[in-house]
Amino acid sequence: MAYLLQQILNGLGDAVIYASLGLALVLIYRTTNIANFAQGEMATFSAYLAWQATDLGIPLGWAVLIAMAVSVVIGVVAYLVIVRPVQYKDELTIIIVTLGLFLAFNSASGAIWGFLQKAMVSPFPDRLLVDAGGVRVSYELVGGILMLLLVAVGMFVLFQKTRIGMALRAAASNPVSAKLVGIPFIAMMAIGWGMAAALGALSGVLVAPRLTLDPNMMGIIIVYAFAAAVVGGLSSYRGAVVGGVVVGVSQAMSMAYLPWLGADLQIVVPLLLIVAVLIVKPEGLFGSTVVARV
Amino acid sequence: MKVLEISDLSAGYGRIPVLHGISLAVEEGSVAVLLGANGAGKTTTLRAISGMVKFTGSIKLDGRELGGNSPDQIARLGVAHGVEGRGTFTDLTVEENLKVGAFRRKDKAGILADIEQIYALFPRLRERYRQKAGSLSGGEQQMLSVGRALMLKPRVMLLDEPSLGLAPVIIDTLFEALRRINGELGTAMLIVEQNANLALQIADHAYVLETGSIVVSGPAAEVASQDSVRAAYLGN
Amino acid sequence: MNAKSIRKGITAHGQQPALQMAGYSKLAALFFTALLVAMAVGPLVLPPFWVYQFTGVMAFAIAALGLNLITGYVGLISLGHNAFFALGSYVAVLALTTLGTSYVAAALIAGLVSFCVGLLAGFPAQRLRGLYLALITLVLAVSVAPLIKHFKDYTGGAAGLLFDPPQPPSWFSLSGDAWVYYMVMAFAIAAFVLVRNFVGGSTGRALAAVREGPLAASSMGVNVDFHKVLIFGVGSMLAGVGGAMQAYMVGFIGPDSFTLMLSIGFLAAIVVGGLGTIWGALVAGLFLQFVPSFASDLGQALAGAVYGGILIACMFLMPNGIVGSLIGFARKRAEAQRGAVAGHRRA
Repeated sequence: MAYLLQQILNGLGDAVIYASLGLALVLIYRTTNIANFAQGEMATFSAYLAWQATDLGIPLGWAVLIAMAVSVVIGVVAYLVIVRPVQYKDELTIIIVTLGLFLAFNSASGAIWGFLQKAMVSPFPDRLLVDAGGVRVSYELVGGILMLLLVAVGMFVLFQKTRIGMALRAAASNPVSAKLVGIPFIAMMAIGWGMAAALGALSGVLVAPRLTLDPNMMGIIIVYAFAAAVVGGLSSYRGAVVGGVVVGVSQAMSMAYLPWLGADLQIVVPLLLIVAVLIVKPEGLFGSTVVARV
Repeated sequence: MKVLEISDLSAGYGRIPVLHGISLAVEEGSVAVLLGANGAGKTTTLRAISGMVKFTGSIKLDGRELGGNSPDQIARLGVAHGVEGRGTFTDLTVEENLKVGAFRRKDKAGILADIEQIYALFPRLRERYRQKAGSLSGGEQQMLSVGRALMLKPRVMLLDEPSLGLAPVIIDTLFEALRRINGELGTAMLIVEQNANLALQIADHAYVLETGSIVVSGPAAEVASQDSVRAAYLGN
Repeated sequence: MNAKSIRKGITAHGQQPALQMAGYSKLAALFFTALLVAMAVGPLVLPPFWVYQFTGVMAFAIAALGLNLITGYVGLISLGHNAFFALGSYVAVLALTTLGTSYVAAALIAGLVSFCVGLLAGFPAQRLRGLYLALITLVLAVSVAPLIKHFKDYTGGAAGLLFDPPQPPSWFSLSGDAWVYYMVMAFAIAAFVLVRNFVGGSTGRALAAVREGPLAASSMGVNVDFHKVLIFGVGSMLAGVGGAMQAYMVGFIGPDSFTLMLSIGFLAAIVVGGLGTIWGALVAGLFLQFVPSFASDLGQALAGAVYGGILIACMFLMPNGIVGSLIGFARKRAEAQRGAVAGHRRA
């Protein structure tokens, strides 16, 4: 029983990462109707920014904030310069452009900081909070969950209680009407990308200490993040969080209870779950079949 | 004093021209009605005014040329456009729909007062103020659309087929409210309608659009009494 | 003959670049004949290094042609092309080493297996809209290396498989590389001819209809689902054959050759070559053979930057790719010369 609990907890640790990147994906999808394949690479780049700041002697907390702030700018610029010109073209064009961004950010990280791994210090103390009855809960896990909760609450407050949040929701709900009430539509979408970039930065900062920082760090994680987001049909925040838990926990479970699969196939198991979801209910477990975006 | 003045307006979609040099005007505080069959170009006219469609010719709001501005700029100048099919923000609540209509305004107290006023006009909306707009009936959404347009404190309100798909009783309520809004608040309106009977009742001035050209124009009562108009649009 | 072909081509496919040679002027026909002759003569005059490189170009071109069918012509987004490329490679090598078949037979088996698996992959394509299909194929792309490593008893795992490349018979006086070159060239020509006939006829028109929109297609009596699955099969078959060809060329296959980067590379290559054009696949082959090594000469990081930059620049400046733009240019010239309404846009 304790073993099972431990596996679930391990899974939750990964779930936090997938959920936070998944939230960023959902945010961009809701505001601009684009699936940003480059989100993970942008997050890696942000993690590098944070590392660079710490390398210059800036304390970690400030480094993270600086990285997030710079990421917002990067997100806005990436949207205005690269994405906006092709935003209303066909899906293939958009996917290709986001893949291009993927490659660009990936190589930018490598070009600036090299391909050797770097150690990134965790915001949380490397200790156990609970160590009882065979169950170990680390500060890192609790801290990660708290951070995710904070982000979720923050997003809720932003969207539901602020004027700009309402404008963002309006722009996502009905672009034409949003323009007709005077909402500066392009600015809203740029803000969406900026916010998502900041979310991605947070995700990157959580991942880096666990996986060590290198340009290909987020390579597989973006796939899991998409898997998580897809549970909500790409347009539900709750779905992304639930999806993250599903992916993370199922991964931990398959590692623990299906060892005969081997390390390689275990990577694939949570993905197969998601493929199953997509085939059975393409609009996601939390999504609706309504054509208009939720 | 003309709040909206359109001269020689031509517009279309791509290579297909829809409007061929039409002219019309809306006097301050008055209601003008644009009648015509499907495809005549009524919606295109409104879209040209609110900046959603490119045009040649002149569209002036309070003497100021609107051409070349983007829709959100034109909205800020005081043009409220209630599109065909309501265009409500289905994911926002009723009250949020009204609030977002006042997006460009800064006067918090004024906004709240205006919301009150709209609830007074449309009690149904007050009842449902926390409901998602998407769950409202067609008539309620139309009231919400009008209410949202009012929140802009517009110089002129453009309404595209407000009676479309609504039950007769609801339509009566709606047009009564429009009459009140025009009477008490003095809001100028340009209403596009296929339901000519109703529209002519609250209008001061009427235009008839046929395949992109204005064929009849004049005070509403005169237009209503013309035989050709009665035969084609009023069913007698 | 030219005018009639152009008119037929345009009214059949509307505005999009048609996968047929009919729209070309005599100049283009001359160019391609010259190209064919040059290809045939290549190994006689080029140093072995270049013979080897161009073999790679052709192998990639075959596979790229497959993706061009799926994504370029029908508009289904597949990020998983590397999986079928890998499948073809491994099936061919395994057929050689465990079944002892001839090289040609092994390649054909590889194609057949890829075709069947591709048909399976085509099934989700029926129900899913573009983005979700892209995501599923992304999962496929990422799963390839782990799957290869897992079944290491068959695939040699991470260490890969080493085998003998095809050896020329005694009457062949040129090098072994040249022999492989001609073998791949034969397959390449066969592939191009096959595809050309496939998309030139009524099947091709059906596919074009599917791309335009499923509703329009089914109203025209086209069985959309069948065609989507079919095209996945054919496209994957070509990828498999291409993979087999490349394996023959190198004499070694391993999981590191079949990463997600390869899939992205295929996509980039056909975009640059020209979506929905046959000859675009040849440009894609050139791209895939030469750009990665050129880029890695610049530095490991810059390889990605080059790919990424090319992708983005292409979508902005040349969305129809090199060949697509050439076709468009040639068509406009033909229209202008004729001055007639024959080339008018769709209503």
